[in-house]
Amino acid sequence: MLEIKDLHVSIGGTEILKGIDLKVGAGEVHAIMGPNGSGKSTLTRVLAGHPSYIVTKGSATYEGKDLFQMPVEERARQGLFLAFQYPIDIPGVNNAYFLKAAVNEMRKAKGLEELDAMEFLEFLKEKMKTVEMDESFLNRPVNEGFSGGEKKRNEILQLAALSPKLAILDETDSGLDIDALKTVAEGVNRLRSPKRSFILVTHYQRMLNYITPDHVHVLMGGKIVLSGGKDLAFKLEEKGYEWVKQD
Amino acid sequence: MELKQFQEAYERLKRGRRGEPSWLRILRDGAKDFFLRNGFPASDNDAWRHTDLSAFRELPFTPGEDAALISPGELKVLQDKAGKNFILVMNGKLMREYSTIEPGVEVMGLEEAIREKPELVEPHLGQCGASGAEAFNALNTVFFRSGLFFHVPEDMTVKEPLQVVFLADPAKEHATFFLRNLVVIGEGSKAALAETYLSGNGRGYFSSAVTEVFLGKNAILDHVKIAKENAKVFHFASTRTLLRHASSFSSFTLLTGGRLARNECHAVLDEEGAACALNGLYLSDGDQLLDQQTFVDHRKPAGKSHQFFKGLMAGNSRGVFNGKVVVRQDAQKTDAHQTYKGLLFSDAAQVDAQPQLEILADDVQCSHGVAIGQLEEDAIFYLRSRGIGEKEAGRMLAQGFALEVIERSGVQRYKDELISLIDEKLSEQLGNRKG
Repeated sequence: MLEIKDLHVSIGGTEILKGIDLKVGAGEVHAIMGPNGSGKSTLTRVLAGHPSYIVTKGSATYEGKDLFQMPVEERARQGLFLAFQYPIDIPGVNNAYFLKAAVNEMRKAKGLEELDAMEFLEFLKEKMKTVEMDESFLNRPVNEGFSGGEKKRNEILQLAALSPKLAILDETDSGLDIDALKTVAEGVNRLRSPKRSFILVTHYQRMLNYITPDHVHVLMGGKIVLSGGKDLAFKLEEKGYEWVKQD
Repeated sequence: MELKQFQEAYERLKRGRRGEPSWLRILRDGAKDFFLRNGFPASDNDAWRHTDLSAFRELPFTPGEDAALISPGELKVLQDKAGKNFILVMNGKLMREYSTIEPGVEVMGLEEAIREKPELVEPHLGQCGASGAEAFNALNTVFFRSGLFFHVPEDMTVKEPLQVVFLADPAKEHATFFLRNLVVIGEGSKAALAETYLSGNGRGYFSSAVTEVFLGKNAILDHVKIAKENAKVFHFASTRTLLRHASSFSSFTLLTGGRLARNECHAVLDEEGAACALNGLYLSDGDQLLDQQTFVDHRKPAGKSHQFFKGLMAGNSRGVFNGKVVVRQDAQKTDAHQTYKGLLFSDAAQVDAQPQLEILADDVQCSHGVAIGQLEEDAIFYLRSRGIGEKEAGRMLAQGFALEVIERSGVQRYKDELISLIDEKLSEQLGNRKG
């Protein structure tokens, strides 16, 4: 699905990622953990194609194609999805209108017919149940005035509606109370499938209580310094990131 | 237009106006003297600092008569589109045969009203106010030949909004149109009025439009103004409203057309508890200059004024916003707010925004804010990351920016029409945008 080799990334002349290697197979769930400032968010954004980040070295191959040659929207249309750590407010753009435009772009890319307003609403109502979102959100501007938890749910709603092949979740757990976290995690669990892969980026282990990863990686100082199974997350929670350094 | 030409035109037209009542002659002469004394506003005039008149001054505009060209067939199409309470004013003339007006509502040409209803016209025409004499307003007073008189008697609700299309269809370049509209809404009455300014052909002209609105006690008027004349037109317009006790005026102005379009919204809250909401949006591209001015005069206690304007500038165009609020000593418990937001679509586009608050009362709630920006890179990225193409993302953000002001304006009745006009203009703006 995704293969990253020796990836180096800079922003504003400062190197943040200093040689990342990562291989994500179909249906796998990878957790990337690390302290603040280790480069976790940079990794998610460079994969999605944020224009501020510059790849100085290395490669990322997504389904056999050079990811960095694809424009942002093309990556999305090919099934790559990023749930933002800080979803952006889009004043004046109605959430339902935005979601419909996005869903129809995906459908076009797959050679499917676009959904009309009625069909889309039916489709979306189904998806909204999975994240326990109220229908009133559809008529509000995208993310504007949403609480932190509502924004994260809206991200997972988009994830459900766009049904990507590779979903990258950037700190989706941060700022969520325990109930919201459970809802979001259940949403993700329902979307797990042998064809869909996940990269969960998180600072804390707590989300991994609800979503069990196949692999856990520790990112520190722009490099993956340790990889292991799901138990690694518990060990990190117990001993802290200092322990990895000492090792 | 030079002062000499102005004076010649004045003398020429004066001969044809012998039948006018003396009060009107006095009004016109006063305006003429004002204009001759002051001329066109100079660049050091604060309200004109950002609006360069040199291109306008260089063109040979001469006030005079003009003939219509548009065919009756096309007029019928306009009328059919508009439905009930449709009024067509072509080259300043009310076209009764193409207009349909609800019974009970008094609508007539202003020249007719001056003859037939002097008791309603004389106390109002040119009496809106103290917002001060101003060159283009004075020019309009000197030269207006016609326009619309709209009177709603006391305690009447006009069900359908009155939709007026002012169509200018000059037979030659550099024609002038001086329109003067007078709207008198009686005590306790309620009405809605939409003014749309259109060009019938591609010729350039000078369009001067002054609408004076008088709201009686507890009266309500919803007002929409749309100016989408062709790219050679110079449009100088003002809406001047005088509000009596607890009356309410809400307006929305959409400017998309003209080479230079300047629209002034003046509201005088002359008695206690009056409220006005002035909203608007302009979208410019090419070499356009679109200029929105507001002036709100709180004279008496417990008045409310809310202003929300936006500008979206593309190409080499310029936007101007100048908003002034005066709260007089007597106007305690005033609630006055003003916001302007500008969005620049290109590096060459410019905007000048200037809010001014002058508060002489001490127990008031007042605020103003200006924000100018470009399309946000992070917002574009967010939309693109959902598969939406870059150009479409820009269009969606711009549309969202524009819609916010419509949503907040309470002009639900006109929403669809406004949105389609905005979309039309946005695709022009973005079509010309590089990258």
